[in-house]
Amino acid sequence: MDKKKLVKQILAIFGVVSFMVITNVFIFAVFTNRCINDTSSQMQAKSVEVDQYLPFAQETKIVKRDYSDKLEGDLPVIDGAAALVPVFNSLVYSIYPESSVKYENGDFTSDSALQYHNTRGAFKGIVDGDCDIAFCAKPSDEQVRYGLDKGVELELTPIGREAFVFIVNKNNPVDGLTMEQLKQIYSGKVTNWKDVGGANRPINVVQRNQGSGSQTTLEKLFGKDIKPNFFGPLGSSLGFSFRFYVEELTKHGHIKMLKLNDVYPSRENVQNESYPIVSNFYAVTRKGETNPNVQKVLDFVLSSLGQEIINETGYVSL
Amino acid sequence: MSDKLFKWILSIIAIVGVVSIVTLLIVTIVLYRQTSMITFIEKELW
Repeated sequence: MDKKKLVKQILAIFGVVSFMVITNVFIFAVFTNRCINDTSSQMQAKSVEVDQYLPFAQETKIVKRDYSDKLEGDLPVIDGAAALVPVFNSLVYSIYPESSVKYENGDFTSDSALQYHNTRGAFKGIVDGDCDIAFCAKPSDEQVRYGLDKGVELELTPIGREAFVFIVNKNNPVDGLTMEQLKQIYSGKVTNWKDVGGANRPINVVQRNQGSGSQTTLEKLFGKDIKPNFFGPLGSSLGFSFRFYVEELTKHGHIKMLKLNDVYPSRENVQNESYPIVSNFYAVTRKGETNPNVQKVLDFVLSSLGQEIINETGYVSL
Repeated sequence: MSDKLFKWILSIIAIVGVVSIVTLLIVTIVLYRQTSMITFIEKELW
């Protein structure tokens, strides 16, 4: 047997094995591991676990404000976005009777006046008649059209304000962007962080599910034709959310909010309106709603006590 | 090692390798569709 040939064969086998192993390790480290939801404890704490925000549970994270004039009769069913669970669960605590909220085996029962189906489910519920008040960001065009197709016009009552923020990994050297730079990034004209003062890495324009509150807000700002960068997943991500949802994470986690036109999205800058993108969030109802308790809920949310609850929950009142 | 054996070993390694890469990619895509945007950004490699 030729010794040289044997060495070559062993080297070839070693080379192929090494290539396969390195490829697998690369894919796992760069992509797979980032998709596993075992993130920081701060992020886990922020994830809305409804059972931690139950209005009448002994141990709950909601803001509790007692109010003597509880609703009676036909109670409107309340639903809404994940990010607003702390708000509407606090409102339910103040004005709904305790017996109206029924939570069993990790979910609200069908006869409970409080439900949780997130933004898309809540909008569908309003149109289909499964819920009466949805606490959400502005609906998408599709959600409005879905209602109109079924003969339901939505009425949006602003109940608070929040900054729409752009987020990056805390190690990203970029601390801020301008609106013009964002337009260029989302239109696909700028695809590398070095073109906006950062590292030489592709910009990964990440997006959320269609119909989610923040995705709808992004599309209203930059249009629906958002161009993802093909090489983006190999680079660094640019994400978005609402300030309340990520603020705590910026203190202890691994992300940071970007300044926009040199203004940081602090609570103060939302209140004084110096931050460029401040969105309302809404109590969404059906136009022509006849249940008088729906108006009572809206009146309470807009009252000084309701607005106090919104502030204390961490959002910004009107 | 005979040429035939060598080719067999190489073929098996290549098949196992490609199957493992494809499986990992499928798992990654499934996980990506379920993961939160913030988690994905938090765990970015720098």
